[in-house]
Amino acid sequence: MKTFFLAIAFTLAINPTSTIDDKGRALAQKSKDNDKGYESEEVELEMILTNKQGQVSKRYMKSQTLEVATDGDKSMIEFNSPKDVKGTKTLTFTHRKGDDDQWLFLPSINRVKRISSSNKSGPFVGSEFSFEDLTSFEVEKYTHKFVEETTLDGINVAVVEQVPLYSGSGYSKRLVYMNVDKDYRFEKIEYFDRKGAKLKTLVYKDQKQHLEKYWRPNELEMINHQNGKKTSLKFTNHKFKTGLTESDFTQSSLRN
Amino acid sequence: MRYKASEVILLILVICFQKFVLAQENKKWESDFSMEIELEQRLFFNEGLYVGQEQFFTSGALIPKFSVESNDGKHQFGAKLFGRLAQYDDQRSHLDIRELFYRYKGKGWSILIGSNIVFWGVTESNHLVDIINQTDQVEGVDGEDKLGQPMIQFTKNTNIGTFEAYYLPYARRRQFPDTEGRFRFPEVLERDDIPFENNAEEWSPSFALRWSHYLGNFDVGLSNFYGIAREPQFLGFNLQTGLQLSYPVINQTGLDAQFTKDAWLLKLESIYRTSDDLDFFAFTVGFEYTLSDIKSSGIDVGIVSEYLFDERKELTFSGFDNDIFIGSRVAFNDVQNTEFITGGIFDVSRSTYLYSFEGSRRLGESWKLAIEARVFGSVSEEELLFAFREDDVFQIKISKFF
Repeated sequence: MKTFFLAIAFTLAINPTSTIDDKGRALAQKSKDNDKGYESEEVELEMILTNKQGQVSKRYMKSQTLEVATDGDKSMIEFNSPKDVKGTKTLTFTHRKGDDDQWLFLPSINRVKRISSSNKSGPFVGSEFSFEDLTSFEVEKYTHKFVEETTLDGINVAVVEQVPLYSGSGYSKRLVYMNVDKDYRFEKIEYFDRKGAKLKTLVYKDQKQHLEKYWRPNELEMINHQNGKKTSLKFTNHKFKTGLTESDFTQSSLRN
Repeated sequence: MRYKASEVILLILVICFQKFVLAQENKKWESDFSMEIELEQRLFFNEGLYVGQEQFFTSGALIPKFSVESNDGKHQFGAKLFGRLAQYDDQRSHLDIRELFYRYKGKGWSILIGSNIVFWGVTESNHLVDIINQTDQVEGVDGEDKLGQPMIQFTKNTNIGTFEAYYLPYARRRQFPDTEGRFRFPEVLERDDIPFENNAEEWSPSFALRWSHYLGNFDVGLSNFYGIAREPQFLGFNLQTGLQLSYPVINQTGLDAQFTKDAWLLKLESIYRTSDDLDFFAFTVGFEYTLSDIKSSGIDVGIVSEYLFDERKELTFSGFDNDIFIGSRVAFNDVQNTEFITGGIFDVSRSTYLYSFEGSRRLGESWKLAIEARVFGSVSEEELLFAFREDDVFQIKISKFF
């Protein structure tokens, strides 16, 4: 028994942070693993932008996502409103390592453009979501550090601090609150700007389990603490395993 | 047990009816209608060079769009019309079927029959590779507006890229401005003034093939077009007949490539075009570099520069035979989607330059304001553009979307 404790003490002494890091990463991996096997997903989105004065502006979008087993997901977003950008589409191939590949379709001139994905911190269509907030979560894109286990509005959560490993991020770190009793689904994310000041809070609202496995919020609410603006994303018509394949995520499918 | 023939027939009819109703319910159609109404004011700074040219132009345009798609996404109908009514210049008042097609989408392939607009290429200041559609010259002098092109288009996606094949049964002529219009030559060019070089004229078919692929940071396209030239061939100026223009049969091979890395886009377009009278090589090469989210303001500033070369020299229809484009694209990424692009094209071997500014901003939820300005400077008399040297313009457009 004595040697057992000694062994633990020894391990902690030579690498005191490694167990904490490993635990953080393991939790993030658990959360990600629960999402495995969804194959494909289609959903309609309503984006509600509210400024400091309370003025509201809305956008409607449709999103299709394809699960890629060996790399990041592929996704296509189509705008239905505002009307002047109706039919505009983006196609993104997320990668676990390196920059994502991204194309833009402009319907007014029927042109497909490959665009740089290095702009990760800029706002997505004037909202409080930046591009990096909307790409699929990949464990490999961050370092993970377990912070604590606590309660959040009566829910048991594990808090993990993640630092982006990719270049061009607008954040120094983010704190992810994972629900311990519900497959480590995300409940809340707090974002800190490059100077370390708290920038935004994302809350996952009204979460439903689909196909008895995959947790999805019916609403995401992003509050910017520095400029007082808010953006809500409401999801309707969630569908999984819809039969989408690689050929639905090509440059020619952008045009059709 | 025996049934009467009438009972059997009735039973069959009932079953058939049920099946038909079920089939209709499975194949629900989703339709979509949208429309843009636009009011445009053009102000030319100087009086026209030629008798009859006006200076201030008011016009309006109507662009309705309609589409129907079957629930399974396999069958698709699309229609987009364009109509402009202009105060002056009768040729600028025009109606065009931009799109009117049926498309069948299989798994990894599709076929389109009807009229459509197809864009190929990557560069910003010039579109050499883009060849399927005729330019709507009365709509805009920058060549970005296109007329609908009747076609049968077959597309196939494979592991080694996308293959497209086109049969284009009809060639459309380019329309130039009328007496009152600007951006015209001393003599008014009627649509039929420029002859075809083959007997079948408009009904002479054209064919095109394209392969495009994506490999990591690389996007590449290779294309070949055989048929009637869309851009009139310019062979010089004749004292008796004026401009020597024609639509020859051409073969054009095109290459477009883009390398995308971090905030850099490196772009290349190159063509080799042959006809009975003229063979030439042309390319546009350049880069775009974007500084994004400057000081966390959300604003992107891009720097674009391209070099334009065309072996035709002063016979180059666009005038860009040895020119440099330097420009900047600014996107505010705000709720109103404010953006502008400004720049200049400078002739390396002559004195000519051309400045331009294009800006736009959404107003409210369904209005858009667009401003455009173009200034010509020291236009060399060796170039076709010399005819437009007094056509500096400021344009304001307000659009309402339904």
